[in-house]
Amino acid sequence: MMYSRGSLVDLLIKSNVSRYAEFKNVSRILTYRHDNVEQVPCSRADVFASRQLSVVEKRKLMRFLTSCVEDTEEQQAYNGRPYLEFLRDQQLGDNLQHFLVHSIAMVTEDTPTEAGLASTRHFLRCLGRYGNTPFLFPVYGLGEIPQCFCRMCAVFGGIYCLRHSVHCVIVDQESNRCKAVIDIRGQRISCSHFVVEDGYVAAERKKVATPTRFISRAVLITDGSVLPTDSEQQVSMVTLPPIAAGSPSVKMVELCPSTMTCPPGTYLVHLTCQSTGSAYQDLSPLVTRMFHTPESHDQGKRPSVLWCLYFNMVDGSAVDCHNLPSNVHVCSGPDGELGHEHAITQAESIFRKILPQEEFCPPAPNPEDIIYDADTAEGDVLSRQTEE
Amino acid sequence: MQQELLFKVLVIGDLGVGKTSIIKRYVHQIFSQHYRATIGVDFALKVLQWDHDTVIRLQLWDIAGQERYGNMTRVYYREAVGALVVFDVSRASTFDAVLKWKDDLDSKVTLNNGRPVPAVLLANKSDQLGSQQPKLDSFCRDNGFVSWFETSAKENTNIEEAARCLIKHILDIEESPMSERDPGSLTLSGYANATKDHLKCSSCSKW
Ligand SMILES: Nc1nc2c(ncn2[C@@H]2O[C@H](COP(=O)(O)OP(=O)(O)OP(=O)(O)O)[C@@H](O)[C@H]2O)c(=O)[nH]1
Ligand SMILES: [Mg+2]
Repeated sequence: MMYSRGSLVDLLIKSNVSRYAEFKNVSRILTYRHDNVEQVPCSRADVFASRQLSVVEKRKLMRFLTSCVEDTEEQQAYNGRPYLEFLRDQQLGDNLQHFLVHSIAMVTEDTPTEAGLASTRHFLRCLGRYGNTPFLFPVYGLGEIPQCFCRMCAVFGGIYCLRHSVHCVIVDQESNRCKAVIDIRGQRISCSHFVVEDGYVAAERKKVATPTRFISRAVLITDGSVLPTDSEQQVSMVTLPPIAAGSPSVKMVELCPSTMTCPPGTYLVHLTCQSTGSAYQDLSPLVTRMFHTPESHDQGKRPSVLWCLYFNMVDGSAVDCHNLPSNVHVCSGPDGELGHEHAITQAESIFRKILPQEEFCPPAPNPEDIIYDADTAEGDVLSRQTEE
Repeated sequence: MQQELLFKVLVIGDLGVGKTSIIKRYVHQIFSQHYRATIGVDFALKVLQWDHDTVIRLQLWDIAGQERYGNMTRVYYREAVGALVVFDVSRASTFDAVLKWKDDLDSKVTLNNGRPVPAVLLANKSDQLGSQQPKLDSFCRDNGFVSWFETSAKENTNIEEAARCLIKHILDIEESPMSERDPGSLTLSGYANATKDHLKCSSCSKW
């Protein structure tokens, strides 16, 4: 999932890498309350059209969303105190507080007011750039994004040696630099820099936040949407507040077939949260309530889970490495945040270390700027190419 | 009124069969024994006055860098409407690879109606051919190529003809009514803007 004004989208546009990708707007934001899935009104049009909100609530929400964009003294008085408290004092009522905390700011009930307001503003800034919600999803899935960067790299002469995992590195003791890597077939590949995922780095060189932070994830294939509408092609971001005290708040994304991630008639669902236990402990109670699974007690008209997978992974944003050769650069795996701020910041900082003089991802020239006319005589080329 | 059509065409085939040479010959009217990889260009653009009221802008996408070894990413294939599949008549192994390339193509891109995109088979380096080559008509029929040509980038043989043949098939498909592309996809900028209407922000509200 990408914020329409996040650093990944900005980078894709700036570098022209976006030319290789296509996106879907997340079409709606949903939340789960009292065993019920509801749509969260987030744009002006949504608020007007909403059937869950009373006229008074609509007016209050409009007024709040318009006014919260500006910094006021009143807000500052709440610095350090929970966002929920601030909202309560705005006389917004339970409904609106729920939407604002969980679905718009996407924070927890004890998040401080200044952080809650910052998240709310970010949400509002992203809204309306491409559509009705602040999120974009790449057609065919997020795996397209690295492919897009790889194509750009290949066009500029980058070479890939696929299926050559690295077995070990050769380090020059004196300079403390990595000279080469040896792949699993014993082939030596010389290098002046070595960028590697943290999974390759030995545990004693890693400084991991204690206790280690994990992410719990579940992937489901279902036979229907959690909130069916006339259109089967909805891409939904679902915010799920803790279902019991001490349980995590969960983010869920439901993808329809037009995202090209699942066959017609099915939906692909991702659930993610910070781990409090195993992924199964954290997420299966929710899955059992929202979907029909073999463990569900009743036969309500909820979508059925056709396939599911639960797993945990280390929270990539919490890993730090040390005692490495000076030209070895480590990048971390995914973290639990929405958007990809951490990955982009890290990529840029590694790039700066390797090539301090160069611009990071400069715009690629447009091939259409080089024009060869079919009618021109042999060798006589009409070139509008400005620079290499 | 003049209409302008934009077609993305892929040029695929094994290492050294002459893909870059064919593009250079067709677009830039040159041939060389040595090619360095063209750095920084996704495609070569050929502009054709097709008939009285049609201009065709043909984007010829060459294979870059790592992609030489087959298994192209979908990023390269997306929105292609046709392909030239090339082999080298003097190297049998490159002909054996033709079906692998065709399968890879068909598995990663289709027309809106789910049918494969038209592909023309090029038997390149025909100038190096001593004796008459076997005809490939039934091979093409059996394997879904719309046609085949013996080409030479060196002597400029049949390249224009092959391209015209491919364009004709692309146009036939464009004219037959098909289901509209999924209108909900958007591009953030870049080439795709030229090929289709895309979502603008006009429909969405702002605070
Ligand atoms: N005799 C002859 N040689 C050709 C012809 N076409 C290409 N060549 C030669 O074949 C060699 C490879 O040609 P390229 O155009 O670089 O082939 P390619 O398919 O782009 O190769 P890769 O990009 O490495 O996959 C070059 O030395 C060309 O000069 C042809 O029609 N006849
Ligand atoms: Mg080439």
